[in-house]
Amino acid sequence: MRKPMITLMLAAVALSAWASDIGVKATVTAGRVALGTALQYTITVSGIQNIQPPVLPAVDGFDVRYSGPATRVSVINNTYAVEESFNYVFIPLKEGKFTIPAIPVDVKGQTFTTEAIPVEVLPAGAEVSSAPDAGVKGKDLESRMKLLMGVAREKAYVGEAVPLTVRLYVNQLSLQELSFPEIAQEGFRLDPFTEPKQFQETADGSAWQVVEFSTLLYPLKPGETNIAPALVRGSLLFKAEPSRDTSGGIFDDGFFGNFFSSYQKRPVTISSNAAKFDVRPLPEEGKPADFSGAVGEFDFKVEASPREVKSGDPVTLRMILTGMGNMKGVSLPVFKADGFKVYDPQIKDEAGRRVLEQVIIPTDTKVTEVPALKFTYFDVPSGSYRTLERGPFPLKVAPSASGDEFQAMGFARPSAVLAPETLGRDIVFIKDNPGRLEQRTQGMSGRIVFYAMIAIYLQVWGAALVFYLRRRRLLDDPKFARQIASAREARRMFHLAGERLAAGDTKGFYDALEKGLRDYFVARLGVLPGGMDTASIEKALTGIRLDGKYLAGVRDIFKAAEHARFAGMPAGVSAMRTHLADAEDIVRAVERRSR
Amino acid sequence: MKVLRHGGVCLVILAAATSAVWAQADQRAAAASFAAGVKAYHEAHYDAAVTFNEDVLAKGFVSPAVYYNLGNAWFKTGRTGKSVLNYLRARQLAPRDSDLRANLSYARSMVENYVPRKSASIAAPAESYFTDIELQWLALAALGLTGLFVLSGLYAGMPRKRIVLGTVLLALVTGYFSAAAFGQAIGRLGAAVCVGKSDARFEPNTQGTVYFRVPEGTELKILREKDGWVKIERPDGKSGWVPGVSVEKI
Repeated sequence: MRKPMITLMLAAVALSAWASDIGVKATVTAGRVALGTALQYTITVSGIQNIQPPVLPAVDGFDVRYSGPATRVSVINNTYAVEESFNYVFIPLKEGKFTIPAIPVDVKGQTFTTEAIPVEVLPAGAEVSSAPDAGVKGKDLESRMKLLMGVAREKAYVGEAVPLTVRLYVNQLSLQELSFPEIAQEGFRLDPFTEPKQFQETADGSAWQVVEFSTLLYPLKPGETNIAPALVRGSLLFKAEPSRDTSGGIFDDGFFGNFFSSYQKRPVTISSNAAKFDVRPLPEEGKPADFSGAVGEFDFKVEASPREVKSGDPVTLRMILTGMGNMKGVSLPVFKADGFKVYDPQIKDEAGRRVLEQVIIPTDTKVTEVPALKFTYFDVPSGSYRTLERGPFPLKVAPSASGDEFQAMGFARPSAVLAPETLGRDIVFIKDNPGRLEQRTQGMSGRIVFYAMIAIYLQVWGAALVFYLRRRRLLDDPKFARQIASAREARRMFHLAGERLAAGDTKGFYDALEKGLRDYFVARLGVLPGGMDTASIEKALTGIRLDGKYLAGVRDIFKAAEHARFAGMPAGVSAMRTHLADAEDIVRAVERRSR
Repeated sequence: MKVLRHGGVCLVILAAATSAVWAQADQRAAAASFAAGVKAYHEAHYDAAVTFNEDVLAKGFVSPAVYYNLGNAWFKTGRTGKSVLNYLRARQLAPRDSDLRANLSYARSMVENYVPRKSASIAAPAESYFTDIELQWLALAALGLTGLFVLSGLYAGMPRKRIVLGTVLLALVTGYFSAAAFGQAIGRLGAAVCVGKSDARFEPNTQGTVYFRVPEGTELKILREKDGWVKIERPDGKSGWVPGVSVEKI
């Protein structure tokens, strides 16, 4: 099955999904699918991230497999949007008409429900007819996107805030990267568009996705005002025709063919209708001299605090203007009164209100009030000018002690200071350099080196300590030093004996062998040199519980040495070799026993 | 046999080279995600900045700057808990970063009813100033110095009193750093942050009576885990059960 399956926006927006900008919808790649192929079912949650994938129930007629999530972050005209999609592969098991049921999706404790989607499974090899957006081109495309612009009033006063709405209608198309509407501003001024709303509307028997952009328009001059068509730019996402590969590889069958089809973007510009309305001038008759320029419906509040001060102490005067109108072009009343030192005001435009804060300082104890303040504006509903008066506010000013006067530090002129400086607080900015990016497992190798270092430390310490103690004992204990040296000396004598054996010097051999053994026994076993007879040596060897064969060996060697020395009887070479080996064994055995 | 042996050696070299190339590619991809996170933050797309920085972590790479930027991005999206969590993670790697300290302090000031966890240990200053690895190496260096001093003193024939005095002093330094390393490791066991407002209950189920509220960003200690619930202890010693999803270990 290699016919391209065009993406369908079959499933509509969830029933209750628009609460708090979170949206949940379900879509499938095709409304009809042939047996032996597969379709992709996607649940898209917009406006939030990091949620658990919905668990799908068993769906009649399909084998359902979860194939993973995808996160999409898009930025349109500096507006950030995030969508998290969960994809499922639906493999048809039998022919017929089935319905993928509505799926409840739990998002932050709220449950949203997708819409049920009907799917028809055709016989294997059947050609699936084109989906509604297949081959979306030319006139067909135009009939599926439209942009409508409208103003809330047909008549308005100069400066009046007039709501303007631009609605984008899209039918079974996927539009991305939408820009805010662009409108040529001639004869009026526009506020920036607010965050667009999205919803669904049914018209002409079709479901339309609607994106609504809203703003306020302020006419600047009287007469008929024309608003040129608004333009919205975006990218149309459509499925490209897959290439027909004749190689017959595994990606050439229906299943992979459907899933490896690619999507392409095509830039589109959608134009709206033009609009016009009549702008009336503000009446000159009855126009107050202190008219602020405000047009609309307003409320005006004034606060002054504290109300009991010492002369020279600051009083904060706060004027708050709220309502619907050309807030930004409005001048708030200017405070002027005798007996006050006045600092420059600070004006802040907040959401739906304009706030003026001003420090005033009563300099005279005769001051008893903060005078009333008047705000005059043109009231649109009544079509007349209106003045709102607030105050006066009683004020009790006590004489100040010398040196108590409020002084704005660092400013020579009183008008240069507004209020004591309040420093802002926020987090320090991010770091542009990632530094050394380390793999999480690299810490373990550091630990291994650390523990290896500890082991090496302990070994070096131990060895140095043992060496030191041994050296000290060799210096402090001559007997010990002699004992340690005796074995070495005995081996040296045995080596000499070996050389004499090789030279055929029997007497010299036995002299060296006997001397080596006797000196060894004196040093090692403490046998007195004067009492060096066989009996005393045997006694000493028995004392260290040496095996009897070694005692016999000692006796044999001494006897052979005596014969060689006094009787001059030459011993056989083999006997001499045996005696040399025995002597070495005896020393080794004594060393082992003496430890 | 020879062919097999050479083939095996070649395979090992090839595998090592391939894994090195993959590791480098992963690191480049992680660095690219970090840069994308910085750009998103610059353009005030804080959710996107979170996504990109978490992508760096998902690729298996960490650095203090990644956690720091992630903390900033979460802070800007209003998630104080996630912000404190990531600042604390960054602090484990870069405890002397002044920007990090300032931001952590500010984020904590946004936490409802924040109570600092105070340590009575004299090693606390070292615990907060050094990383765990630094403390371990300092302890090891002091230990090595102690041994070197003892041995060189003995060999050089230094008076015994002087050797004992020097050894005691160096042993105290070793003990101090060891205690700091140990205290830091103990302090990190079960350390967690509440990443979403929650109620601490007497029992690990939704029917349990609410004992106290746990504001987002509260620093806690996890005592036990059971069936998706965790028993937490707040700095004043009170403990209760909260859903596991509302806390994240540091």
